[in-house]
Parts: sequence; structure tokens; C-alpha cells
Amino acid sequence: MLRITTAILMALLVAPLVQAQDKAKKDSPQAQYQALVNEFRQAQLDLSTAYRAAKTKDEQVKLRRQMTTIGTGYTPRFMKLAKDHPTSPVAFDALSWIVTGASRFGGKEAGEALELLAKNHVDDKRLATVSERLRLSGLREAPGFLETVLEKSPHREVQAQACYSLATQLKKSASRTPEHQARAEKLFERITKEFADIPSRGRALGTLAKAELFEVRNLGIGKTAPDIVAKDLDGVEFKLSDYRGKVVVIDFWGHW
Amino acid sequence: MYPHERSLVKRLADQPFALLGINSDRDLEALQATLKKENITWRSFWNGEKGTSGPISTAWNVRSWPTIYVLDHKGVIRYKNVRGERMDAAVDTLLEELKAEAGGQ
Repeated sequence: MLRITTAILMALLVAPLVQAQDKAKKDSPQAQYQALVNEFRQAQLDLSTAYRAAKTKDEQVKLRRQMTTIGTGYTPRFMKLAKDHPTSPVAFDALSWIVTGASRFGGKEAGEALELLAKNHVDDKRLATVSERLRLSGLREAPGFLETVLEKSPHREVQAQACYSLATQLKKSASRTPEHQARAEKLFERITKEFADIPSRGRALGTLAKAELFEVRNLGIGKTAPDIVAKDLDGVEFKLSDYRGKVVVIDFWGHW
Repeated sequence: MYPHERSLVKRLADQPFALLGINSDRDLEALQATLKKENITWRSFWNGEKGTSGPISTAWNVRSWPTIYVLDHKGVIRYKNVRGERMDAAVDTLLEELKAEAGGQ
């Protein structure tokens, strides 16, 4: 009996303490970050459920539009979290969520998030993933950010990813801005020399960069197209150069 | 995609113009049926059994489909990834250029 009473008494004493700890945990920046991510995922799920249940085309179009813009409502909240806890590891997570997750949704905060990442987290190893994901990003500020990371990061993996993504970004704008072409070529060359062994999505950056170099050097606007010699769909061999003298559209296609 | 290409090929049938495909389907037999069904009359290179990892698309560093190149009559790459009306305009410009050059000689 005494033992039971003691146990009850202990439980009564300990309970408020545990509750307070729970509350602190719940309010921790990490917990807030996780709650936000969960809320976003749930909202995404709800939208796709609604989309599948939608009966009219108009409804579907509306829901699809919502799906592509859903992230913009969340970016200010991730930004606030990052700013409220600038020295917490959660700041990095929140900022990279904004630039690699929400950038697809056109969040206004993406430029500022990149600025903060470069300013406060340039030594962070996880910038390798962020830089890798920015490879095809349409963010206006992405090339400048990658430039800074390439210059200032102390980690070879991060430099490698920043170098490759920057080169890819510059290649994209090379037909409009010719000097980007030369710069992209130099960066891809640098990868084959300094970062060839670094992996990216299952392949070595060196292998990827070699293919990019071939494209930059031989497949740019104004270059004579390399010849193609192969069989047609009936098994008859022919050459691209057979068509010299004609205007030719080459269409890489597939029926899938 | 096919209807636009069909009309381009038809419109320029008597012009010095060719549409060439680089096809990345793995299954040639199934593809033959598609050619018939979609009335695809233009010639294509076959990218081989490895599909999108085949030798031609790998050499040309193609990472997304479709990818378009437009070459002038000298075999020089003049436009990339122009689609729809922009593809038509690109081809028309190059045909004009070819005619002007032939006329000037």
C-alpha cells in the first residue's frame, strides 16, 4: 500500500515537469520546423485528394493551379522561422526548404534566402545538396549565389556541386549572352580536372562534365553539327550529312 | 507534337527541307504501329536498344525529350529547342536565306 501511494505521489510530482519539458520540445525551433513541413505536406496531400475527386475540368484546372502555387503561402513562415533562430541549425533547413522546395512555386523570399545562406552558412557542408538542387533552378539569384559558394566554401564537395550547377546555369543563357558560353566551358573543364570523382545522382561529375564540354564545344549555335551515321527505323543506314543543302530540323523524340 | 510536325512537313514538301527524327523507343515493333497510326512519314535514326541512353542522344548530351536542333543548308546549328510557331519561323528564315544565297550566285 505504501509503495502504491509513493508511486502515485511521485507521478503527481513528476507530471508537471514532464509536461513542461514536452512543451519546451514542442516549441523548439526543430519542432516548429517539423510542424511546418508536416502542415505543408498535408496541404499538398489534401489538394491531390481533391484533384482526384474533382468532377469538372474547371475544378481540376483550378486545383492544379493551386498545387503549383501552394508553396508561396509557406515561404514567409519558413523565412520567419529562419530569422527568429538565425544561429540554430534549423535556420539552414528552413532557408534551404525555401530555395530548393518552394523555388518551384515562385516564392518571393527565395532571393533573400539565398543571400542569408551565403552570408551565415557558407561553411556548411550541406550546401553541397542545395547547390546540386539549384542546377536547373530558374531563380534569378541562383548564379550569383553559386558563384559565392564556389569561391568561399571550404569543402571540396560543396565547391564541386556549386561549380557544376553554375556551369549548367551559364550554359542555359549562353545563346543570349555569348560570354556565358566561354565561362561555362572553363567551369566544366575545371570539373574534369579538380572534381571529376565527386558523385552526383549516381554518376561522376567528371563524366557528366565531359558530355557537357562536348555539347558546349560542338553543339552550340553557329557550330557545324557533328555527323550522325546510324540505321533508320527500317534498319537502313544513312547519314545526317546526306541532307547537306537542305534546311534540317533534328527532333529527338520518343513515343512514350 | 505530331500534328504540328505533320503540317510542317506537308507545307514544305516541295522545299529544300527535311525533318529528321532521332527516335529513342526501345521496342521497334510497337513503334512501327505508332508510325502508321500517327501518320509519321518522316525519317528517323534509331537510338538503339538502350532507349534514351542510346549512343546518339548520349553523344549529343540530350537530357530531355523532345530536344530540337535546326540546321541551315550548310549543316550549321542555327536554333535550339524552338517549338510550334517558333520552329516554323526558324525554318522559314533559313529557307529564305538559302534562296537569297542561291539567287545571288
